[in-house]
Amino acid sequence: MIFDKKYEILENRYISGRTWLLRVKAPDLKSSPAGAFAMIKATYDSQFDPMMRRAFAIADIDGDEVLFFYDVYGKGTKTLTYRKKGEFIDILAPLGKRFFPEDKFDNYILVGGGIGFAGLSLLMKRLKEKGKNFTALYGVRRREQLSMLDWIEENGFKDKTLIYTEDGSYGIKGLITKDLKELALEKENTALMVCGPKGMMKAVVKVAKEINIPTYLSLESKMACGFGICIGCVIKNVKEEKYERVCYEGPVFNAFDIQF
Amino acid sequence: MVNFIKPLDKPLAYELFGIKFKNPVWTASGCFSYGLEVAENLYDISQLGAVVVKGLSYKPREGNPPQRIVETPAGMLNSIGLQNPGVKYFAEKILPKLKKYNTIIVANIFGEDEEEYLKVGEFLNKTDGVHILELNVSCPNVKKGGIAFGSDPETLYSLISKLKNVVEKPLLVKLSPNITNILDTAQASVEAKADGLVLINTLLGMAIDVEREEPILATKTGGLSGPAILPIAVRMIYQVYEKYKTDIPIIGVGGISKTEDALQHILAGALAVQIGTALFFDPYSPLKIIKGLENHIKRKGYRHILELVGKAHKLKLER
Repeated sequence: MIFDKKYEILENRYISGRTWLLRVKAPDLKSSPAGAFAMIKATYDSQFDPMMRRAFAIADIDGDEVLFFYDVYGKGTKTLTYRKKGEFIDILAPLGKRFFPEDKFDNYILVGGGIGFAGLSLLMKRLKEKGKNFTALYGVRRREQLSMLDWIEENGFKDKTLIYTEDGSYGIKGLITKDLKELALEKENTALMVCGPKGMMKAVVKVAKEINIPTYLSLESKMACGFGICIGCVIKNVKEEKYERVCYEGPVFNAFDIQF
Repeated sequence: MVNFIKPLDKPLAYELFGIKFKNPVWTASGCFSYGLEVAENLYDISQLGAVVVKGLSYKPREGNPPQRIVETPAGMLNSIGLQNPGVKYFAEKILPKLKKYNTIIVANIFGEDEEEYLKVGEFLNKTDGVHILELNVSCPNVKKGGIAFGSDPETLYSLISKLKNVVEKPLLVKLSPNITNILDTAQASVEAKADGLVLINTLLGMAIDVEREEPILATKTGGLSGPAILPIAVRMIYQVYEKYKTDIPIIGVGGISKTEDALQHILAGALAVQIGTALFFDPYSPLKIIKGLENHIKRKGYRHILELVGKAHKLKLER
């Protein structure tokens, strides 16, 4: 069941870097799977600039409250920053059909680049609930891009998270792939769960292929609808030699099945 | 009131081509996939007037490489390239599921050449559960077929005539706006005995990424749709209705996202409307428009929606 409703904004504020936080009251979305996303319409009814909804990962669910983190890049996300606490905002969710496999492996390494970490945060909670062993890697260029540090601390994941900055302004200096191979080979039955910018994901997949470790990518793509009807957001499935919809056959894909 | 159509008891219901329509609000081809995504996840699609499925060719088509879509001011460009699993797969795997939802099914048909169009037409003419065929001669996003047939009146006349020889089901022709005079292809369609006209398909457009300094879509150009094209659709429907009046049914498509937009199409001469791009940002928009049309009729004191079809013309003459 996909809900298309107006939900109350509880909080919509700037954090750091390009990142904002949006918290809404949306009890319908309580049982959304980790990896699911929402299409949010930044504008009010019948306003067409921007016209399309934008896709955002469901970053956390706490009781009736649902949390999103978003980077401001274009008109859609800029407009979203204008929305105020107490207003009601159009949200279509939960979306996606294929999610992170939460039960399949014993050990998980979560690899989140920049705002992509918000695509993994709910998975951290779910893995914790299931008693799975996991380590999260959080990589950015500069310290101010670590917009989810507070969330990590508040949720008690500080010891479970390794932080990488390219300029060394926080945590470990270097790329997120720096220690990936060693970490991935440490324990049996380990898999990588990845979300981030394309360049980072490519680098992760390269390592994963070298050591042949199961890897799942949560992808983003330019979407018009988010629920399978426009066929706009496709990615090539190289195994089946056909285009698949990121929104409907994904957003999580086995990294070895797709052209990346 | 138009003469080839029979109003039924409810204010939005009528019989056309011997088919009973609950209301005049359809989904547009390419904007609703094959209906199952909405039916299985959002709402009961039997509430719709009809479902027009995504374009079907005889052979499966992979579609165009991404990036396939980009938002533009009050609109979007798409270049999907008619990705579809082929008509046989549709009939065997998709249609049985879609039929369960008890809605009127319109199949949009496409071919790279005349032969393929005829094969698809013949196949779907025999396919139980498909009520109407909509001829796609206006897709701007494929190299062969599509718009090539839709921009030359003689080629179009020949294609429709041949299809009419093998297809007994009602055959609608979806016209391209990418032409100097829409009346040329409308005339060819009327002469070739098309059962109805659908106007308009998308307008050819382009968007350029100013940072990368190249077209955003992988195919460079795409079809423009959305609220931005509403006035163009309304003008073309008005033009075609003005010439043919009740000689041929017109189905309006282009830029409709709310009741007032649908009413503009209807007043210009459309007896049914298709909702396209609005489905992407407001999947419930067809249901809202159905309700909106009912309310409008009641508020204005009409008995039936058909009283409004083409009414903008009459008003103009009386002034």
